[in-house]
Amino acid sequence: MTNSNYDIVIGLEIHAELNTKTKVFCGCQNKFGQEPNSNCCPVCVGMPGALPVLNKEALKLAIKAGLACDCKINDYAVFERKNYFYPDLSKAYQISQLVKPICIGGFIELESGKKIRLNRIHLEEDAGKLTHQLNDTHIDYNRGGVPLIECVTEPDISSADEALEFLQKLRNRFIFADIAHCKMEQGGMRCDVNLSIKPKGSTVFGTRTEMKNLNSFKSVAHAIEYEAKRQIEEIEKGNKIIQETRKWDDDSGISSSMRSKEDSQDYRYFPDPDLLTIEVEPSVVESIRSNMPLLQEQRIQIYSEEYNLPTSDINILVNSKLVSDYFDNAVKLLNEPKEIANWIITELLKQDVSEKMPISEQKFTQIINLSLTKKITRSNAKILLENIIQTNADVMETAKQLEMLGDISKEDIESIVINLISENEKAVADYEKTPDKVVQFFIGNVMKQTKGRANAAMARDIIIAKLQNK
Amino acid sequence: MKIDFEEIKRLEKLSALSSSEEKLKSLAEDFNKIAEFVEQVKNADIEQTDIGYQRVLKIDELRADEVVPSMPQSEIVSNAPEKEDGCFVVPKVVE
Repeated sequence: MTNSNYDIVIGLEIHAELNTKTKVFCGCQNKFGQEPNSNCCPVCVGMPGALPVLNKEALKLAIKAGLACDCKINDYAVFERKNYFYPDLSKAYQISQLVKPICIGGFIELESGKKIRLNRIHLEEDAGKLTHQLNDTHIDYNRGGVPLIECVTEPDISSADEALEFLQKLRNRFIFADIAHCKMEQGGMRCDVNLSIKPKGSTVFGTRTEMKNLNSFKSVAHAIEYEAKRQIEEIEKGNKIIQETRKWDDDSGISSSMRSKEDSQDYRYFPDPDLLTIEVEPSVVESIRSNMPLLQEQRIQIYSEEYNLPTSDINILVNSKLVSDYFDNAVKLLNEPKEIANWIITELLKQDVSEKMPISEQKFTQIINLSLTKKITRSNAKILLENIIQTNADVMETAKQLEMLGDISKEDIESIVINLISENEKAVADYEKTPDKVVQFFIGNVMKQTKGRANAAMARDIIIAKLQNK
Repeated sequence: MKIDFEEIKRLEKLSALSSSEEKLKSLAEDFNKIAEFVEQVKNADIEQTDIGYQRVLKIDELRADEVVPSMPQSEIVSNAPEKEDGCFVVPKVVE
């Protein structure tokens, strides 16, 4: 940071939408990008008399999030009403957790070894989406009631870089454990930053401000740098920091005051009488723990220590859960991790793999196996792979159709070579001058005529023998 | 429990409402009458009653994550005084 006389103290609040099929308190679909208010029912829009019914999967995913971050899981879960008046929630309260959040404590360790402690992870409902027009505001309640976890850190973060590393690690854990997709561009993960500064080494915290509206890692970093600089400048000028909520504007790169403490929300929390207390049995927590998918860090360790893959390949594979899952499944089918990693990186990642892989693991490993067992040549395997990606046809049938299967006998190669020699007098004449080039020319033609099936080493021996006898 | 005028003013602000002083004063009176009425529960004899008991749900008793059809968009917004392109339309409120 710009001024070394100050420590920066940062705490983050991260919201992530959970990967459930339905909303947290009703059976409406949890799906992004639908027609406005088409995934809604009386519960979503807060019609009088509508009652919330908790989604089992949402609570389980919240517990899973806690387990992925080494939190303690509370014995009981209680839901409270957080009252505020704003049209993104039509009931004028959000169902959230205050006193008994589902997860408490926990931490994420940075590469430096520093632990960023979590205060809690709780489950709540997302609010509707407001679109401000010139003269009015349009409301779409499709997002209202989408299950959301809020992770609150302790003020352990001291720089934008640490904040970004923490966020990246948290996001990877949620993605790899199938908890949340965390697509920031869709609002699937959002971050608020609490920041204060204090004289270097001081144990007394300064007054903090909260910045909202941070929808990308880049804006989190910018906002932290901007706000730390602003606070240092205020202090150096002899001014006081006002405890307030500030809104970050990505386009202008500045934050501005939204509301001061005097105006700050008085949420008047109280237990939601519509929802019963839930007992979180240890057996359920253990079953979630034992079914937890491998997290990114665990996969990196396996790829490195068990499979001996180079770091560059590992980084590519674990960059996407989809690719990493695919790799793991493929290795289960064919225990050739290095070969599979190579094929994925050089052949499959040429394709668009943002949503799905272009070929099933079964067909993919079948093709690699044909190549490894020398039933087809490597170059034919690549052609076969491209073909199957296009057609999704049966691997063996296609290999047969493309005449890739079946050995070419020594006699067959000899007869091809004899024909080639009689048809290419110029090449034969050049043999004395440029033997390597001419042999290569004939090998190329043998492979062409046999669609790559001939044994190249055998072809070479035959060609040389024939040319020397000329 | 006594709800004073200041408390009512604060609630007015939190509810984003605007009312006359006279109306607020009368509201405060009404609030106090309601509070007094509710205070009566304190007199109930609960010595023999296990009021600590509350039905507690187990996780397996919760709702399964299965989609049920939502209401048609036209029906959801049908009671809205103003609507446009399937959205509820409200006076512009920017937090």
